[in-house]
Amino acid sequence: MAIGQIELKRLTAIHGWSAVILGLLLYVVVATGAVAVFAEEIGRWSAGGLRTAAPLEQPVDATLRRLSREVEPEYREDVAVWGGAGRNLFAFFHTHAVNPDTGVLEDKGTMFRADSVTGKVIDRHDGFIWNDPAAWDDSALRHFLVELHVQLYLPSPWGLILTGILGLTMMAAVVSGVLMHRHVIRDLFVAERGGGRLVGARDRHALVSSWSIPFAFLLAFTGSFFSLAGTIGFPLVATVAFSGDQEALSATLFEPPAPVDETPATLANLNAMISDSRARADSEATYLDVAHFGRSDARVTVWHAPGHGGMIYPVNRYDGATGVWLGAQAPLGTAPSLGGTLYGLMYPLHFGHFAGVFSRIVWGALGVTMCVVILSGFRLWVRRREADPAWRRFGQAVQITGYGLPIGMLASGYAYYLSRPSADPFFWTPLGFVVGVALAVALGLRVPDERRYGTLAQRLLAVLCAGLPVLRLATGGMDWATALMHGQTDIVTIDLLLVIAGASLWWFARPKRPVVRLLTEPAE
Amino acid sequence: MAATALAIALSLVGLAWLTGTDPKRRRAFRLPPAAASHPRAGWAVALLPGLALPFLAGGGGFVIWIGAVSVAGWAIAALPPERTARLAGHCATLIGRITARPARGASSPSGDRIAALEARILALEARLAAIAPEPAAGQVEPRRSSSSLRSA
Repeated sequence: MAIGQIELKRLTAIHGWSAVILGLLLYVVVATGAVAVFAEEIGRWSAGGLRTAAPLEQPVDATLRRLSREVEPEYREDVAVWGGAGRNLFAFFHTHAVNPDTGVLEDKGTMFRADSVTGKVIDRHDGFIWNDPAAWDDSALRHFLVELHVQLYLPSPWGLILTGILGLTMMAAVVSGVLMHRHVIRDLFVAERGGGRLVGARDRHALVSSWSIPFAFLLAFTGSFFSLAGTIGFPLVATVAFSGDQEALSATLFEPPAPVDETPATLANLNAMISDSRARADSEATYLDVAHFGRSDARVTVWHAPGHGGMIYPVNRYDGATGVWLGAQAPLGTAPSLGGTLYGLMYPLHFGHFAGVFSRIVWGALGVTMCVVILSGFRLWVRRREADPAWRRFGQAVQITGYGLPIGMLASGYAYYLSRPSADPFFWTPLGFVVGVALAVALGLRVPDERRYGTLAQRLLAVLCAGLPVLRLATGGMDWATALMHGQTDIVTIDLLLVIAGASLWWFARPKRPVVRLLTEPAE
Repeated sequence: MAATALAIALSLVGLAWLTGTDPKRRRAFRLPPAAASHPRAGWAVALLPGLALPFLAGGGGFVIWIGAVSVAGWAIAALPPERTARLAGHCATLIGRITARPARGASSPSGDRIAALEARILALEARLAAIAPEPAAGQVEPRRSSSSLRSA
């Protein structure tokens, strides 16, 4: 497709200015996303106790029956069960009610955190529990990093709307970038030319962007879908097609119809249903839902991790009263469909956890690549305007954000471990992030020289990386011998990765020979 | 997962070949054109393993392959030629060391390897003798043959 000069200028303006306005926030979302891919591992590393098997792989029937007798009868309308870090088993007995504080229909009930092996209740919370993360998440560090990625730690729904817009911005940047850069294939192997020239900055951005095109679009699309579907998409559909009744919409889209029968009936053995479902799915159970616990029309739904080579989460439904398998549940609607399959693919394609740690490592690396795309784009933009002091200051802000975010994330880890023994980590972890970012900003304002600031920030990052495993162990974290003895290698792996990252950053920050900047060529 | 890892490795070999022989990259770094380029063969090596993956490792394996090749392809292409050459040299040395090391439990005795080395030395000595002019008597100490080395 031939693009004229005017169109090219417009595309450049869209591409550049959208990045200038929202790019730094986009960087925060993408960088935290690259870390959030490892949310499970971070949860186990930061909060995990000893475990021999995933909580839902243990017999849960007796525990759930006992717990069901300890809650208000109305809360047995719906029971959600999932595994946390270590041996933690979360069971949420709930109904739906309007929260007087928010005026919105929310889940109301009793949340138990129990030991999946002994069945002993560790924690109990009652009411509208989603507003209290300590009730349903066992790691404040994981919770903070995921929230920062999902909604920039802003109140819902504004944070979600903002991240949705950022996803759309990223999609626009990908499309405009492809149209502007007409030699994607021809330039696919051209590395950054040396000499500190403008063309080198262009090479760097064009190269990393070209290799990132498919996944940048895919992750931006799925991310903006998740942000905007719940806040705008589904409420809009509910308003148009269900007279505003979101429960009816949810029932139509995700719950196959079942005849109502409120007659009391004993729930069939849950262990047998989970075991049968595991055999059908060929993978471990990750989530369990019991609708109408103790009634004749009870339905049990079991979600699984994708099986070997698969991507979509297998879901099986059972008649709760008899334990009979009712069939596999489609990701969307009541019957298998192309739309349902595409909807089901959205989750694994965004989260990247469909093939265990192998796919997570690839997704994490893709996130890092996107960060390079954003930062190299900023560098190119500023480089073209470096004669202007205002743009030079903007370049400094980019550098401070670039280093400040990882410094803040590591500082949140420090705050988490320091507060865990005797204070509330859910309060101190975000505060630690703020302190870390403030430190990076203060350092940036004190050291305006770009190169010197980069060296100092890298050294600070190196020290923070290397010190975090030490702090984890010093504040009562699981030691390496115990972790290895019980096969919890992810704890040792994260510790080692942090130490290696620290050593590498220190090495990168070593004094280097200054780059000789060559004169700009007329063609540039 | 093994099939996916193998497909990624094969694709990276193809991409490394394409990187090393890419005409625009060579022009940009003022290198002479590659003696043998074969871009179609390079692309075939890079892409065909991925096309086989949906059948060998399912959709999950295929998606992992695309992701890994995107990241590692960028990492390969981002290295400037002098670093690529240095890296290739290190890889060649490493592969040479690995292949030169006898496999654990291999059946061939070490005597066979010594005999092969002696044969090689003899062949090289013969070639050298054919090329070099005859030295004047008394000027150069006579070379010790490999058999004399063994007896020493």
